This record gives sequence, structure tokens and C-alpha cells, in this order.
Amino acid sequence: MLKRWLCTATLWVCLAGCGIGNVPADPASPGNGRSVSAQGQPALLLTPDATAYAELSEAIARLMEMNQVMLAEDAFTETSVLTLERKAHTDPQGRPLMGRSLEKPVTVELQRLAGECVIVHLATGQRIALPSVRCQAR
Amino acid sequence: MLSTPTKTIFPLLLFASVGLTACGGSDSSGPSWVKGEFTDHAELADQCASDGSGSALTEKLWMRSYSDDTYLWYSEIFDRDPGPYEVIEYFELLKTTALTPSGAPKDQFHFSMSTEEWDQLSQSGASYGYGMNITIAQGQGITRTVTITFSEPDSPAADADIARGARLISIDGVNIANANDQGSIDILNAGLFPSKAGKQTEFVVRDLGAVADRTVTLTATTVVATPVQNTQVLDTDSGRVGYLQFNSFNSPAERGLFDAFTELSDAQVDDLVIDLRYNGGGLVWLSSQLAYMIAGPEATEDKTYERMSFNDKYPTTNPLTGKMLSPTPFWPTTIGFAPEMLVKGLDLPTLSLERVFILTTAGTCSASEALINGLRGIDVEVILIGGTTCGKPYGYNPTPNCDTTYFTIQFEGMNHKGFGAYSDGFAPSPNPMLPTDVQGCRAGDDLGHALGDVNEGMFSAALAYRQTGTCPLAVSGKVASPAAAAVPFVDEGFMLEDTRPQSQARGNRILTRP
Repeated sequence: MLKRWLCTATLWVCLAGCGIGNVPADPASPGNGRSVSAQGQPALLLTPDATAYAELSEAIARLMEMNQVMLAEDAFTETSVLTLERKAHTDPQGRPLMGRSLEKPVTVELQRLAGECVIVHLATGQRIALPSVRCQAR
Repeated sequence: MLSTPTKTIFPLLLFASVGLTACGGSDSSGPSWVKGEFTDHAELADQCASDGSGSALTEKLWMRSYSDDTYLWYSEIFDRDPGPYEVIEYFELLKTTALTPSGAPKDQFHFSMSTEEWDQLSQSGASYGYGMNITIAQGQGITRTVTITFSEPDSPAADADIARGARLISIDGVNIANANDQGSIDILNAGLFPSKAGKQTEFVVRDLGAVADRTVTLTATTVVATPVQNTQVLDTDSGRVGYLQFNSFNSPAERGLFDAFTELSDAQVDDLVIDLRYNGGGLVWLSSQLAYMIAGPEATEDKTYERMSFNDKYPTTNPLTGKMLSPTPFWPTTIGFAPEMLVKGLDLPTLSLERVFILTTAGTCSASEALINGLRGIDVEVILIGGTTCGKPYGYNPTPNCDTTYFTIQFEGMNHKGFGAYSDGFAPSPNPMLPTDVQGCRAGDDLGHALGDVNEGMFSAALAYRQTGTCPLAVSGKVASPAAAAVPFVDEGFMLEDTRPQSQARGNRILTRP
């Protein structure tokens, strides 16, 4: 339970960079632009199939400490960077639950690093290797 | 992350501490409820019945204390003994019962859901479906109909030429109008709201203006929505008018708006019509950017777009972060929400307009309403055409505890003039009387014409009002009823089904009763 609390709190910082209600000096600053620790080359998928997307989704979920990640069927085929937001839940009238959101979307990048494909959280530089994914540097 | 032993011990220590101090009336068996006395919610957090670290009572006492600390109208919560109630049942009671000036419940935005469901990400703008947005008319005395409001470009629906105004007749062999048993309703809901890609569904469709039905089979896929569509420039006798359809304040929309306003700026439009009829909100910072692009640098310089106001326990600080409150300005540059689409730091294109026409329905909500309020706060004339907006000047920080995430209203957004009291929504009116009445015309969502078509009811009313300064007779008597107001595609995952009769009449799930 405590882990859940801390994970979620951490995620809020990662997502919002500022926490809800706190206006940052520059809202563009968090989660945008390359981390100095991310040293791989931006990459695109060579085999954008179900296996690759399953591994990518699972890795991004682990990276962001989320339960599930939905990707489009052409993700990482045209751009190495991808922006993700919390799934758009709606109220009974079909309106977004978070119609007034201060969360900063997260960005991840597919990279080629030391001969393997990795997915990198750009705000923190944290990365996870993708052993079954085939990609090539752009 | 904490190690497993620490995880186990820390809550126990907290629990022991609470047992000694909570609520002023506790004993060795743990915290208890004492009317009017509230333990710090941090001391009650993560003590859950499910894993034995706490109990249902500690979960309820946590939400009671959390509400007393952060709920916007905490003083209007009746402090009742949590004992007789289930956890979620008790949460439902931790809100105001006050009414708005129109007699509606002041708090209509009190939710909870499993944290497992809440903690899900999706590629920005992506959802499972066919790419067709729908409106459902149903309820007592109403023949159930499902009509397409618009289709996303490059989606299965668009590929099948399913467009605005088309009516769905049946789904997988079940007639929509006549279905009256749970099995049939389940088939309709499963077809309309697929939960995963690959599901094939057969639809019988009557296209707008057609005299015969046709049958199409659509395969659900991950559709990435295009939030900004139909940008165009019209030449009229009295100048150039820009139009754009804007459906969601999400990350890709920053690029869409940037491109649209660049086009409109290059065309030197004299007026702008923004179609927000299906825009339920999203990123507040993006709405501040949009307001800047409309109003321009001079009108917005040193002005507040929106200021968050928490309860009176926190007049200057954010209770969720502990930091000093500072207002949201009209943001003048790109933020780069989706850096793969638009880099940060570019100057935004501006139109520097003194007035703007906005098309609205009950589906126009939150960040969309913040746009209306923010512009009015700096005396940009906002002319509303359509229906009354949803009335959500509020926000919250979804907060997890014991595998459930709670949404309880914590702040109200106010404009530069300090106005934020629009819980009944902004209402278009030819003769504004109330602070929430906005100059303009009432008009219904005209599903008989494409969005952006100059003959579409709301758009044509805007053009007519612009030309004559009065509401056209054809629309002045129309009211955009909640049942007619289209809403975005339903949440295909966790179902927050509201069973209240008033919601059943305008909800976007198929209900058993026709």
C-alpha cells in the first residue's frame, strides 16, 4: 500500500513536474527535451508487430509505474518519440473526468543503445531494454 | 522504493500512532469517529482493510479527514458516523448537498474508481473504437436513436463513409430502437463501445438523406483522434471569418492549433468562430495558449488567465503541494506537450481579436469553459451560439488510498476579474441578465449538416449574428436540450454508470428502458 502511495506520488511529480495547482515558471520544462543520461540514438521499429508492441507497452508501464499502456498500431514507426497521457476516463455524461488537467504528459523515446533497443523516459533518463524488439537508429 | 520489510513495518507504526492519538476519542483498538474532530489524513492513509494494515473504518476516516482538509466546500459536509456505511457509500456522502442557483446539485463531479483502472496510460488521443463519435437519444417517451456526430479522419468509420448525421439502425442484428431485454442491450453496448482492438461489428446504417439502409462491418482498432479539424476561411461582405472545429485539449492539439492559427493569421481573418460543441476540456495550459492566440500579446500582457481558489484553509498555498499559489498566465509560446509534433519555445501565432464566436453545447466543459471565462476576464467579447455549457469551474487532484482513487472537488478556477461562479454553465442569451448569461443565440446541434458547413445551424447562426447583431428567427427559439447535446465517445473501459434518471435521459450508454 505504501509503495502504491509513493509510486503514485512519484508519478505525479513525473507527470506534472509541478503538482496540480502549482504553476511552474516554465511549464515546458519537465518531461520535454532529452535527459543528459539518455545517450542512445533515436530509433524506429523494424518490425512493428504485436509482439513488439506488447513488449513496448509492458516496458513503458514498468517505466512509468502504470498498470497498462495503450499504443497505436503504428507507434514508433514514424517518430522515435511518443507522448502519453492518462487514459481519458469520462463521467456518465461522456465528459472527461479530468476536464481541467494540469498533468504534464509524459514522453518516451525508442533508442538504439549498445546494440539493443531501449525505451527511455526522457524526463528522467530511466530506460528499459527491449530484448525482443528490433529497431534501427534513425 | 521501500524494501518489503519497511513496507510492512511503516504502516504498522503509523497505525499504532493513530491508535494512540486519532480523533481524540480513540482507544487501543484504533481510531474512531468523534463528531467534529479530525485526525491528520496523512496519519490515516494506506491503512486498508484488504491487506490487514487497517480496516474499513480507517479507510473511511481517511477520506473524511482528507475531505475536511481539502474539499472546496468542506464546511458543507454533514459529519456523520461512518460506521453504518460501506467505504464507497461513505465517500458518496462526503460532499455538499447544496444546490446551484438553478436548483441543480452544486457538486456533480464526485467520483471514485479503482486505482488499477486509473493508472493507465494511452498514446495521446488514442482509444479503441471505430472512430465514429455518437449521440444517443433515449429515455421515457423517446424512441432510442444513435446518430453519428462526426467521424475521425483515417478511421474505420471514415473509411466506410460513415459521416455526421448517419443513423445506426441495428448492431449485430439487434434493432436499436426496439431492443428491450438485457441480452440485446448488452449486444448494443458491446458493439458501440468495444474494449479492445480487433472486434468486428456489423452495423446497419441509414446515411443522412438516404432512402435505404446499408450494412457495414467495422473492425475496432486503436484510433488516434484529430482534435483540430475543418479549419477554413470564409470571405464575406463584411470581412474574413475563420472557423475551426476543436474537440479536445490534448497533447496533439497544440500542433493542430498552432497550424490552424498560423493559417488564420496568414489569412488575416477579421473574426473567428471556434466550434467547441464536443470539447469536454483537458489540459488547462493548452486552453491558456488558445486564449493567447485569440487575444494576442497586448490584451493579455500581465493578465491572469486563471487563478485557482482552494478552500479557506488554504488562501495562499496549494494544499496538495504545499507551495505558494500563483496564477496561470496567458501562455505565449509553445510548450511542446508532444515534442515529436511541436518543439517548445516557439512564439504562438496570434489573431489579436477583440471578440470571438464560440459554439457550445452541454458537452462544452471544463477547460473549454475556462477559455470562455478567461477571455471574458480580459474584456474580449465572447459571443456564444448554441446551448448552455456544462458548468464545471472546478478541479481536483485524484488521490489514491487503498486501491481506490478518489476525485473530490478541491479548487475553483477564476478569471482575471475574480469570477468563477458558473456552476450552472454559461448560457447564450440575446439579452444577458445574469453574470453567467453570455451575449449570443441559442441553437440546437444540427446533425443534418456537416460541421463547418455554413448551413449548419449553429455556424449559420453565428454568421447571421455577426452580420446583423441579432439572433436569426430560425434558431432563436431553439434550445439545445441535454438529450440533443452530443457528447464524446463513451469511456470504453471503466464504466462510471450513473443510474440517476436525469443522467439516464442524456447519458451515452444504451439503457434497458427505451
